[in-house]
Parts: sequence; C-alpha cells; structure tokens
Amino acid sequence: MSLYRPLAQAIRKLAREKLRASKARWKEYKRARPSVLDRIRKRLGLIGLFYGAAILLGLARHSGPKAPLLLLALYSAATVVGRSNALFNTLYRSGDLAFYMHVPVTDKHFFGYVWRNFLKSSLWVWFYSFLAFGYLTVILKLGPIGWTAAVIASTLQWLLIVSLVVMVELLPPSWPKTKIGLSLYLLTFGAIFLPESWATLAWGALLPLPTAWIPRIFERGVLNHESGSLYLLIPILLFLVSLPLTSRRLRETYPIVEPIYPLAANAAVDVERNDDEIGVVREEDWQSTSHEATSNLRVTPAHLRGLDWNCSGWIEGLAGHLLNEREKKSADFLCGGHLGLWSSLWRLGLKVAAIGVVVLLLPRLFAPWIGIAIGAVASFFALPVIGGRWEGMQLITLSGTVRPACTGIPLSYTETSRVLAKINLLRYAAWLPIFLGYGAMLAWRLQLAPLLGIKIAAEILVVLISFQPILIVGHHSYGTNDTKRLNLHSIVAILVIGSIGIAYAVCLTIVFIATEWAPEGSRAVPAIAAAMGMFFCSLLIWFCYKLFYNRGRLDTMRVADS
Amino acid sequence: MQIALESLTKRFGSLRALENISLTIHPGQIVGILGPNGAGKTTLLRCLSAIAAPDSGRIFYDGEQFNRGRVDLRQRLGFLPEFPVIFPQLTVARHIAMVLGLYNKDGESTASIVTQHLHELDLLPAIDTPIGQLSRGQIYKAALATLLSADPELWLLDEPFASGMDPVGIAYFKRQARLAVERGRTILYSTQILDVAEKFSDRVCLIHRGKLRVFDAVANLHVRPGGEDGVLEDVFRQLREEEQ
Repeated sequence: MSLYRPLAQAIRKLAREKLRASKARWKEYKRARPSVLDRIRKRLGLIGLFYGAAILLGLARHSGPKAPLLLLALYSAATVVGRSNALFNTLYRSGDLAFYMHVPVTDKHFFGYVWRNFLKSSLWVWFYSFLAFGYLTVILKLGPIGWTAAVIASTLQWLLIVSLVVMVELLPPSWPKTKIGLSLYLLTFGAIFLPESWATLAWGALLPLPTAWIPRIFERGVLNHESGSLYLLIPILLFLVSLPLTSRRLRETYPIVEPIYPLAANAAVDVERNDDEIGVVREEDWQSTSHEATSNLRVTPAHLRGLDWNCSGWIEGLAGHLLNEREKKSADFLCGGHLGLWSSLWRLGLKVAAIGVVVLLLPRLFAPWIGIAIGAVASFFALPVIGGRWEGMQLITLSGTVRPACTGIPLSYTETSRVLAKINLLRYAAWLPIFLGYGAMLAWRLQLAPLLGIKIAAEILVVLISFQPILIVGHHSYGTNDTKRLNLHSIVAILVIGSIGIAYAVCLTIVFIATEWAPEGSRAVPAIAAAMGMFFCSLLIWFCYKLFYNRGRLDTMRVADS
Repeated sequence: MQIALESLTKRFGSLRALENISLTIHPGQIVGILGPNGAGKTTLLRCLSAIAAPDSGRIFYDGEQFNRGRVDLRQRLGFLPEFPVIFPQLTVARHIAMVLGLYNKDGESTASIVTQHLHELDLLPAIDTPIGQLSRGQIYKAALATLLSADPELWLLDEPFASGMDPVGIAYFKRQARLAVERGRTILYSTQILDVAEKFSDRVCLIHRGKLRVFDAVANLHVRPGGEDGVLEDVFRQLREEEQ
C-alpha cells in the first residue's frame, strides 16, 4: 500500500523524533521493529527469480539457439493469461480491494494503484526477454548491433505483452484463465526438455501466437539477416498503438461489476455447489426461520460422528483399521476433518508412474534420466517424502504470532507422532510394490539386472523411512520458536540433536559406501548395522525433542514472519 | 481446579512479558485479567494453556506441576483465544464434535448438550454451515459452545467481551460462567472493559508491564480509600501517571 508513502514517511519522522525524547520508548521502538537483517532477507527473495531464469537458460543451452526463443514465446503467452488473471483478481476480488472499500478512496484511485503495480511487475517480462535475446547475442557473438537489437526487441516484447494483457482483460471473464495460464506455464517448463528436432517443430507451430512474433523477427532479422519476417511488425505496432485506447477503456469501465470479497466469492460458489448435497441452510432461510422451526433443529449423534474411514479411499480404509479410537480422534483433527487425500495422491502417483513407464519403453525418444525424474515425481506425489500434509499442524496467524492449529488442543507430542508415523508408514507400504516395480523397470532401461533396480529402490525406501521420525520432529518444530529464540535450553537441545543428526549422517554415509563400494561378500553386515544406526539416531532425535517439547522449554508459537 | 503460579517469568527478547508473577487462585472463582495493551495478559493465558513456555517459575494445577506433556491436565482446561482456531471448510457440528472428541466428551448425552448451547446462542440453524462462512461473532459462539460442552475445570478466555458476540451470546456466556463457578469451575478471562470486569469478576488480576500490580477480590477494591464505582479506572489512571 504505497499510495500514501509520503505521509507515512512524515508520520515516521515525527514519531521517531518523539520517541527519541524517551530512552525507554526508543529502546522499545527498536525492539519492536524488524531488524536490518530481516529487511534484507525479504528483499533477497528476488534472487530466486534470477536463479530460476539462469537455470532455465542453462538448460536451454543444450538445445540450440531456437530453445531460448521458444521458451520466451511460451513464457510470454503464459504470462499474458496469468497476468490478466492476476490483474482481474486484484481489481475485483482481492484483499487490497477489501481494504480500499473501507477507506475513502475512489475507484479511479484504486485502479491507478493497481495499474502502477501491474506495470512495475510486468517489467519482469522485459528482463526475461532481454535475458533470452542477450544470451543469443553472447553465444552467437553478435556484438553491439546484437545488443541494440536485444534492447529494442525486449522493450517491444514487454509492451506487446502489456497490451495483450489489457486486451485479454477486456474479454468477458468467463473462461478458465487459471487453468489455461497454468497449462501454458507447465508447457514452458516442459519445453526445456524438448530435443532439438522437437523444439524446431514446436517453434514453427508457434507462429500464430503474437508472443512469438518478436522472437521470430529477432531470429530471422538479427540471427539470419533475413527481412522476410518484418511484416509481423505491422500487427505488433497495431497492438502497441491500441494500448492507450484499451487501457483507457479498462480504466473507464472499472468497476463494471459489483466487487466481490474473496471469502464471499468462495462462499457463494460453495453454497451453490453443496446446498443440496450437505443440506446447508442458506442465510436468508436462516434469518427467516421461525422460532418453531429452529426449536425443531438439533445436533444429532450423526452430526457428532467422526470421519468415516471406510468411505474415503482404500488407504484411508486401511488406516481406519490400523488406528485405535483415540488415534482416530487425533487423526480426525490432524486431517482437518477431511479424508481422501492419501488415496487420491496414490492414484495420481500411479498415473504419473504409468507415464514414466511409457517413457522408459521408448528408449529412442527419451533419455533415461527423464524416466528417473518422472519416477521421482510420481513417488513425491504418492509418498509422504517430507512428512505429509497435516491440516491440524498448519500454522495459523494470531495477534502477530504464528502457531500450529493443534496447540491449545489436548493432543500430546506422542499421540500426534504416533498418528503421523502410522499413516506415513502405511502410505509407504501402499506404494512399495509400485516403487520396486519401477526400480526394476528402470534397471531394465539402463541395461542392468532388474533385481539390482529392486535392491536400490528398497535401499532408497529404507533411507526415506528412517528419516520419518526426524520429519515428525520437523512438523512439531516448524511452528515453535526452538531455533528462533536461543537460550540455555534451546542451545543444549540444538547441540544434542545436532550431534545425533551428525551420527545419522555418518550412518547414512556408511550405508552408501557399504552398498556401493565395499567388496561383494562383505557388504551386508555393515550396511544393515549402519541402517539400524540410522533408525536408532532418528528415533533418538525424536525422543530428545520430545523431552524438550513436553517439558515446556519452548513456545509452540513464534513471531509471524510478516 | 486450584491454580498456583510460582515466580512465573516470560521474556520475549529484551521484553519482559511476565515478571515474577506469583499468585494462587482457588476453585470456583471468576478472575478478570486486566492491563493495558501489551501488559502480558494474553501471554499469561498462553502460559497457563502451555502454548508459551515460561522462562522460569512454575505452574501448579491442583498441586501438580503443569507442563505441555501433561495431557491429562490439558484435558481439564479449555483455552478460547480471541480469534478461535477453526477449519473453515468444516461444518459447525463437525468442528464441535472433532474438538469434543479430543476432550473425550463425545458420549451419548453430548448431542443434546451441544444442541442446548447452540440453541441458546442462536446458532442452531448453522449446524450444517461451513464454519468459515460465519461472522466473527458466530465463530466465537461456535467455539464457546464447544468450551461449554466440554465443560473443563478451568476456562481460559482471551477477550470474550470483545469477541464480536451479540448481547444474547454475552448474556448466555455470563450466565453459564456463573453456573460453572457454582459447580466449582475456575474461569480466567482477559478484558479491557473495566465496568464488566468489576461486575462480572470475583477477583481481578491487574498486570502492567508484565508485573502483577493488583490481585484482589473486587469487593475488597471497593472498600479501599476512594474506591467506589470506577475503582479500576482509578487504578489505571495511577499506573499511567506513574509511567509518565
């Protein structure tokens, strides 16, 4: 909210002058404001984007000069849809709008604020375009002419994208922008891995896309010194000329519909969808409900019944048999009252793994590492590799602090851990046959013995499972201040847990060395011993943290990051 | 439940949120926790519910030392923060049932108890409504209905009178609190509304900059020199003057 920055600065200046008059208050002020390091850390988030771009270009490097242009065209197309969607949401259903509706600010003023932010953020398009064109200028040694062309092409691409975003914004909002935008971004990501021949084909197919026109002119005009594509400048210029008109129209027609709050919008959709299914009482019905009708309503035992473990998928059904009554109640809370995720993730993993199998069966088309990557993605869906998602342990923000939802509820560390461990192990067991089978398939693709693939897959599973107790600690630790506030207890805990963590790493290394490099006959004993050591260390970390946690040596809340 | 605090201290960095607080609260009382913004009221409630960890000092419930590992003691208390924790997509009935299950209060009679509380709080028509669709006051009422149905021995409530509840809800809460105290329950709540604190509480606990400044029965405050109606306002004024 930078509309009133000068005023905010003036207030800050005056307040600081007043605070300086009292030493105690100045001290309190300095304590309350974010540290310089925090402020720097927040700005450093941008570096991730630079890394992202560098990695994309680094990968594209292996696919010839067409790849960066193809990526740029696809990324720009995705950005047009994505940015248009974001602009619509900010204008009509954002938290910013909710704020501005409560202060005396005109729609015009709010539009101006959103528009400026949009223009600022759209400069990333210029940056990525320049990165792509500049990259080609460097690798093809185009010299100053190339750099000049890169700057001009980037600027034109940026303006073209802005004008396209505004045009798309003026279209009726009844098409699935989110899905299309996401698909285009995924396509962009997928294009990184296209072989050279496929990239050339795709590049040719993209010609109808306006976002591919400037890269096309750059390719033909600057790289190949041909003038055949210059005719594309005509529609491009038409788009650019239309920008002031379309943006003015957008400004004038705002707001074209009644603004919708995010919550109200979701609620409306939910009510429409679920009214008949779950018997939701509409608010108007509710308000008009007579006293007699109200007095007939009651909470029945059916309302109070917990989750139905048998009706939510086969993994959930098995979990229902595995957990006792108290654990089911705990799991009910930890799942946020909803079941069905584990089976659906397992099915998703299975579908992805099926794609992986197809990839492995087409050795001439796909490199083996693509099959490995797809297998990893499938397992990432199906397995709780980082401990699984638990609604009851998600952080909630309360009065400047964040804390897991389960604090304040009588749920113990052990109870929570037991539920997490049982469910996660069940999910590992459910995925085991597919994981081992995929390992065998991968070994066949790499012209190795399938048994070796199964063995390596089993070893990976052992390592992942041995890490589970540590991940459970991570779930608990995530919402606490154990690493945020150092005192004697937390330092001791960090040292003890850190030392055991090192022991775990040593065991892991021994397992790795023993299985890979030890002589054939003497592998089993050290590997098994080290694997047991890993389990022991992992459980010891869980137990040490339990002592620390249960004795109330840390807050199960911490200061919110923002 | 008898509560005893022994030199309870809690710091956040250089800020002493609670400093050396010692007191004993006998069962069957309503205790209002008062203090300016940032005085340490919520921190005290958080320590009492094991969300915040005291740096030093101890908490005893019925003579037993309390910490987060004591789930048996945690099941005997209920903490209702200013903004209750909810899963927005769950219906009111499911949400209440889920939490009551963790208090082992999901017996056969529970449904009628919950119905009664929801009816009195005018929330009965919302039993099948996702809780996230309710207003702030209604969400607080749903959480209050959970607390009332669980009926723990110790109630900890953060700003119940600034929770967005309508007069019907507030009146019902007051009535139920009084009945609970007669059954031997102990109620600690924080508030900024001094009139309410004077009339509703049996005792008040005034915290200022983390220190316990007043802990006395309301009746005793009235017999202090100059203490009539508005005695708490006088105490607050004195604190402000001292600070300046």
